[in-house]
Order: sequence, then structure tokens, then C-alpha cells
Amino acid sequence: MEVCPQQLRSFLPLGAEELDRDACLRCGQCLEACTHGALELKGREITAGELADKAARLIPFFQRSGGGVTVTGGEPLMQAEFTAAVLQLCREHGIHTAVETTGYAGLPRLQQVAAVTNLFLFDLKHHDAARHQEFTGVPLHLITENLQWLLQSGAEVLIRVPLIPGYNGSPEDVAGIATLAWSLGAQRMSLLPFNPSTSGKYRWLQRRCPLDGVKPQNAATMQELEQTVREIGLEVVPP
Amino acid sequence: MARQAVGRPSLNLRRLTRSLQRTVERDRCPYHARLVRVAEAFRATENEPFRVRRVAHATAHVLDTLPLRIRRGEILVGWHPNTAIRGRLCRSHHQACLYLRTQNYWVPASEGHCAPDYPRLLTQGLEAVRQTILTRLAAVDTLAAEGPEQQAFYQASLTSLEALQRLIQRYGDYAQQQAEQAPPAWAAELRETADICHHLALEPARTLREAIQLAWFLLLGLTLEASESHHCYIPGRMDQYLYPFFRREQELGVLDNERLQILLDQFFIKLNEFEGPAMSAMSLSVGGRTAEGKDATNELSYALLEAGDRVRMYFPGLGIHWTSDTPPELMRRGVELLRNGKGHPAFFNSDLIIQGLVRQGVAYSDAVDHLPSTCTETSIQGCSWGWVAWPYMNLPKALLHALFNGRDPLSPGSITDGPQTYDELHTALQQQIEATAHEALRQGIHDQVVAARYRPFPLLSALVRGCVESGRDITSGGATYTFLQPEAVGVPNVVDSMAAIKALVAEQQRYTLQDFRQAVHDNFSGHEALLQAIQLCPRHGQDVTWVNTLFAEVAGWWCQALAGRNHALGGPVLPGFLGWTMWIGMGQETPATPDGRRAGQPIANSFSPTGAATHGTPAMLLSTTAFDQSRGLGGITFNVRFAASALATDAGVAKLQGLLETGFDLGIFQVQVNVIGAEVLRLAQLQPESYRDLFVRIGGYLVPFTLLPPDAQEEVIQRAELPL
Repeated sequence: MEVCPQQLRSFLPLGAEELDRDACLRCGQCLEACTHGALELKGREITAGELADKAARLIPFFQRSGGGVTVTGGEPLMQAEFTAAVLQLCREHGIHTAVETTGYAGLPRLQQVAAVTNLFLFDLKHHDAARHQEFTGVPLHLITENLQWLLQSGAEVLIRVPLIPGYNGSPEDVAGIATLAWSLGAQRMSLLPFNPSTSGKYRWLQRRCPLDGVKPQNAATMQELEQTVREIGLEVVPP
Repeated sequence: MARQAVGRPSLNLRRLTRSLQRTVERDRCPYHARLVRVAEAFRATENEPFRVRRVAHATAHVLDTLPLRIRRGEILVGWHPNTAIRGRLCRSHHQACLYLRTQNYWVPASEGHCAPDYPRLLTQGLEAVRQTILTRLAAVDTLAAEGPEQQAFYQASLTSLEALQRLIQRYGDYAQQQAEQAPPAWAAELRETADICHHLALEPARTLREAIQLAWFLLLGLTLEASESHHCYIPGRMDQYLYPFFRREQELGVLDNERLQILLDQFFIKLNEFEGPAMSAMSLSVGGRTAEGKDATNELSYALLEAGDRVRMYFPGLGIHWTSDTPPELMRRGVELLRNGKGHPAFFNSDLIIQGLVRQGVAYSDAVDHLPSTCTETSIQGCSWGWVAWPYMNLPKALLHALFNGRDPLSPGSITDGPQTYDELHTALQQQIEATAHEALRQGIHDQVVAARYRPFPLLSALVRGCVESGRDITSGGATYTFLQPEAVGVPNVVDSMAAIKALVAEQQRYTLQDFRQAVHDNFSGHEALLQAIQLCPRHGQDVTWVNTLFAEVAGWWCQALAGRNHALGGPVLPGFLGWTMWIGMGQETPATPDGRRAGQPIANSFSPTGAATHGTPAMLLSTTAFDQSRGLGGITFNVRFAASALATDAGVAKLQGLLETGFDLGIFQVQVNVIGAEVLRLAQLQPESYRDLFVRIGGYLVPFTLLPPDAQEEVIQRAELPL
């Protein structure tokens, strides 16, 4: 591409992974140059104040829905300082704050954000350390140590388990995860059926989704799994 | 008056009602023979100098020759005849048309879109009205200049009203006759019908059934006076005017709920006998406030919603009038009704509309009786004449006028004169919008004067408050309130255009106004870079503060130009922003616009944002309410798209309810929910870029439909084809 300061190519067939996205400066020049709208820049730079002001505009909606602001990602703890700053400002507006996290970050980051968060939506993907490492690429113990700290600090935590068929969706896996959560002191859990719209996002990145064609679990399966969780002693919260 | 339930022969009225529904669906068609009757009457009155008397004579002839029919199981009687144009009728209809054209029978005018004074008529009866007219007629000062006109008007209302009374009487006789040959169970019903009709020809309603029956006869009579179809007459606030009758029967312990449901179902079904113009409505409202300002919701409010859910036909257009005191239960029930995919009810911000009307000088106790006259324009039950959506004005054209200094954007060669800076354009735009508003007023006034001359409605005038009191036909401004409601179409296109020009010309200085002129002239061909840059500019609906301000300013200019103005019939002008279907037709004749819209493409519908980028419904609500919508009583619509599956659970219903109520808190005028089905989903598959805001429910998630892989989309479509 002539306009790209990094000289990155962008015309690629679906499935190819040649674009070096790490080298992309997000300057947006290719966007302007492509008059067919084939390129899209997701996201933009914003200050914590601007973001909190935008959230404040939604207060009338929160009043009716009982909702608030949820910071999600990606991983909010990767931008712990910014996340904490935004949530602090939201709280000053009287807005309820929540954070969706994998829990995979250094404890100080978690502590910084916990100080201004009303509710944590904390992912737990597997109870077996080896399988966890294999499927997510990161060790389980860091996450469980953070979770334990969080629960002991008295934070309100909802454990969330995204159920991926073939990875952690079996009744045994769910029982294992629920047992682990319960043993750490968790009280509430949501089981999330598989979200098939992920494929669409992979297409944006010109990648094939490894889970293309996988179907969400049906209602009967979900009910059985939720019953398993209840029997272990956790309250099941619908997603 | 308690009836003996024991010993009554049985008749399955529910089954017969369903069968009636099928018959109506199959047979509906305009009453074309009516025109032949009107022409006959007009021919016989060619020497009659007063138009209003000619019309009354025609109405009487139509009503006196009306074919009658009572179908088995029909306990609500009064058939709107349907006669397809075939054979001999074809010729006589054609000749009638030609003749009536020479008599100026049709003139461009906004007609109907109102309701008779149901509460008074149901409780006083038609004979009382007739006596009042007689008294007034006798009291006319025939030596005063307005004497002859008043006399003619009273005579005409009398003629028309008496004809309606005769029709009701004839139905009584007809039912009596039918009873003589009917099997016992049905004969008993027919005799009761006969008694009711004979009574209602003169007297007030005694029972809930009679109230519903009289309301129906009024609607039928008015329609037959006006045209071959429903003419947008309105059933109105049925939960209010039927309530005293309902309450009395409840207290006496004689309320027959089963029968009430059948009567309401039959009323709803019969509304569909009027073959109406496409995209028209007959509005039926529930909820709102009483004359004392209290919440008006009652048992009938719910009963009417239930009837809508049972019958599920195109008419009536159900509306919920929301106020800050409306029980959440009513709203919840209304949202649940959307599951049936019919798009009913629509939701109106009654508090906002009442506020706006009071500011226009309407008495509070009348303002609470506001009705959407079809979509959202304003009518006041029983006492108003609306001139709704008259005329529609193309605001993007006003912008082009400003941009091209009045010259045709498509004239050959390059156009260089016109505003050179954003500020100059801004000033020119305001002037053009004001000029457009004045042109709308000029046109409206002209049409009102002509309509008064050729298209009076003496029967309607007898039934709407103010006319008999003032001695003036409704089309001459006799009603208590007469409005003119011009509509500005395409405001979002104007706002988006100005926003793009502000960003690209004034701030970034990457383009000039000349570039925009050239691009419009060339329909953006060869200007792809500019088009791309425009798409990246902020637009209306994204809740960007400066764009919201611009939007409020543009909408405000339209309203301000008409504020305090009166029209030809002595009432206020109520500006609106309704698009109806005009945004498509107007778009076809509008060149490209600086917001990136190509020539011939539709312009924006009311305040709905255009463009593919979606920032979510909250952002759209926040943007659209940046303008004080109580200034737009002429009507404003807001569309929300929801998949039926998203409403399947209580949580889904609660979410939409919360969204609607928040919208009202923010000051939105009206919301209509398009519950999408398979056809829309198929379109979304073909044109995903236009359906990015379409969310469906799958696997417990609300996800953008266009992000789903094809097989998941198929599954959603399969589910959409099943009724909920």
C-alpha cells in the first residue's frame, strides 16, 4: 500500500495471516485511501474523563434498568490505571461499576481496579492446571490466587464460565470448575453457552475461526449443567 | 337489566366470530357503488346553490340505499358493503367519477383523521343531537349576512343525521325480519339486535353492548359520508368512553365478560372491512390521563389489548398513551403484544403531547383526549379537525437551494456561485427553511379555503363539538379546535450534510463548498474520496454533542418559522416531522445530498438516523431528544427494530419496556417497534451493511445478526417463521 507509513500489505485472501498487525500504527491513512470501505478501524483513543462523560449520558437508562458501566475487553487489567480512573469517575456520577476479567494479571493491578469496582464478572475456564495451560496458554494458579484474594477482600464476584464444546463443556468439566470456585469461596456462577457470532469477528481479521460451525448448547443441556452447579452449592445466575 | 342466562339456546359465538374474521379477510373491498349513488344525488341537486346541502343529500341517498347484511354470529351489526368494480358497475362507476370531477367533488385536502364526540353521543343519543340542531336552525338570524350559510349548514346536518338514524332503524327492521326465518338460538340474538337498533336510532346507549354498537354506527356513518374507505376515522379512547357502561354492569353484577370479548373482537374485525389506502391507520388508544390529570388506565385498557392479540388484523392501530403514572403492567402487556409480530401497539408520550397542546392554548381537559390521527399527528377526540400532514415539505431540497443559491444542482456545467463558507451556508439554510415553512403555510391556507368551498362534511359536523354551536361546517373551522400540521421531511439528511461540511470544510479545511457542489452535481461519481471522508464524519444519531445541537437548531428553525401562525380556519399551526411514505417518493426526485446520499435514494424518515454506522439505540434516543419534541405536535416517529425472539423471555420484554420508558423520560414523542421476521432477516443476509443494528437472540445472547455464520443465520430465520 502506497499510503501506509509502515508499508504493510492489506489485500489478502481470507485465511491468510500475513498482515503484521503489531507493526500497524493505527494512523488510519489506509482507511481514507480505500474508497470501497473494505477497511475498518475498531476503537479510538479517548481520555478517562471523556469516557466517563459518555457513560454519564446513559444514567437515565441505568435508572430504569438498574444497570451501570461494565469495563470489558480484551483484558481491562492490562490497562488497570485507565480502568480504575474511568470507574472512579463513574462512581462519582453515582453509576454502578463492573469489570469483566480473566483475572490474569499481577495482583497490584487487580487491587487498583477492585478499589473502584462494585461487581467483578470473573472468568474461570478450567479447573485442571494442565488443561488450562493447554487451552488458554496461561497458568491457572495466578488466576486462582487473584480470585481468592478478591473473594477474601469481600468483593462481589460472579464467576463466569464460557462453555466451549470440546474444551470445557462436559458435565465433568463443569462440575470440576464449580467445585474449584466453591472451594475458593465463590457463591455465584453463570454458565455461558457458546456464542456463535465469534466467527464474524474472526472474518474481520481475515482469519478462520477454529470453532466455525459449532452450535450453542441447547436449553436442556444448559439446564442439566446448571443443576450440577447448584448441587455443588453455588447459586446459578442466568447469563 | 339482567338477562336470563338459564334456558338461553346455545350458539357458539366464538367460532362464528372467527369465521366472520375469515369472511372479512376474504371479502374486503371498497364500496365502489357508493360513488354511483353520490353522482345520482349530485345530478339531482344541480340547482342547489349551497354545496353543504348537496353533500347532505348525497349522504342521505347513500345511507338510504345502503345494502344491509347481518352475518351469522354477528352481534355487532352494520356492514360496510364491498363492491368490486366489475361489469356494469365498472361503467357506471367510471361515469360517476367523470361527472363528480366536473363538480369538484375531490379537492386536495386532508380529511378524516379525527373522532366524533363519542362520550357525549353515547350518553345523549342521536335524537338529542337532532333536537339541538332543530333548535339552532329555528334560531338562525336570516337577516344577518351569515344567516343563509348557517341555515344551509343546519339543514344539511339535519338531513345527514336523520339519514343515519334511518339507517340504524332499518338495521333494526332487518334484524327483525331475519329473526322470523332464523333457527331459535340465532333468532333470539337477532331479536335482541333489533331491539337495540330501534332504541339507538333515537336514544342513548343503555348497556355496554349498546355503547359499542352506537360507536360502530357512528364510525360507519361517517365513513359512508366521506368515501369508499375508512377515511382515517378513529375509534379513539375506547377504554375511556366505554368505561362508565362497563362499570355500571360490573356493579350490578351483570357484566358478561365472554360477550364483551366477542363484541370487541367483532368491532376489531369489522374495522378491517374498510379497504383503506396503503399505510393508513384507524387508531385506538388506551391509557393516558383523565380530565383531572389522573392515570386513566382501567380494565378495558387491558381488554382492548387482549382483543388486539386475539384478532391480529391490520386495523385498528393500537396505541398506548404513556404517562409518568401509567402502571408498568400496562406497558409490559403492550410490549408482550409485540411478540405476535403485528407491530402493535405503538407507544406515545402522552405527558409530552398534553404539555405541548396546553402551550398551544388547548384546555387541559381537552388536551388529555389527544389521539394519534393515524401515525402520530395530533387530533383531539370529539372536537377537532386536523389538516394533518399537510403539506409535506422536502427539507433536503431546501438545503440544496441554499447550497446552490437557488439554481438547479443538475444544470449543465459547473456552478460556482453560492455560499463559500460554512457560516454563509448556515445562514442561507435558515432562510431557506423559513421560506419552506412559509410556502407550506401558503399552500395549506389555499387548500383549506378551497376545501371549505367544495368538501363539507355535515354529518361529521353534527357529531363533533363546536360545529353545531358555531353554526359552521367542520371544514369551515366549526370545530372547537382546528389545526394545520405541515411536515418537514428529511431533517437528518440536512443535519448530516451540515455536519460533514462543518467538519471537512470549516474545521479540517480538506475540501471546499465548491467540492461539495460539484460532488452533488456529479452524484458523487468521481468523488469517491470525498464520499469516504463524509462517511467518517459524525452524524445525527451518534450522540455527538455538537451534532445534537445542530439537529436541534435545524428542527427548531422549522418550528420557529411556524410558531404563533394561524391558518385559514382560525387555529394554530402545529409543525411536525412525519415522513409517512413520503421520504421514499421525495427521495426519488431529490438529487444527491452532501451527507453522501446518492440521487434518487430515500431521504430520512422522520428523525431516524441514516447511514450504516450504528452507535446503539440509547445514542439514537439521546440524539433525537436533543430537540424538544413537544414542539413537533404535527408528529414525530422513532423506529426501534427488535427480533421477535428477543421478546421471547420476560427479561427481553423488561429490557424493551425499560428502553421505551427511558425514551419517554428523555422526552421522545412516540416509539414504534418493528418486530422483524424472516423477510427482513433474508434482506439482512443480502445487504449486511444496512442491517448492522439488527440484533437477534441466539444461544442466550443478543447478537448482531450479520456477525453470525450462515448456518446460525438460517436457524434464526427458521425460528422467526414460527409464531411465538
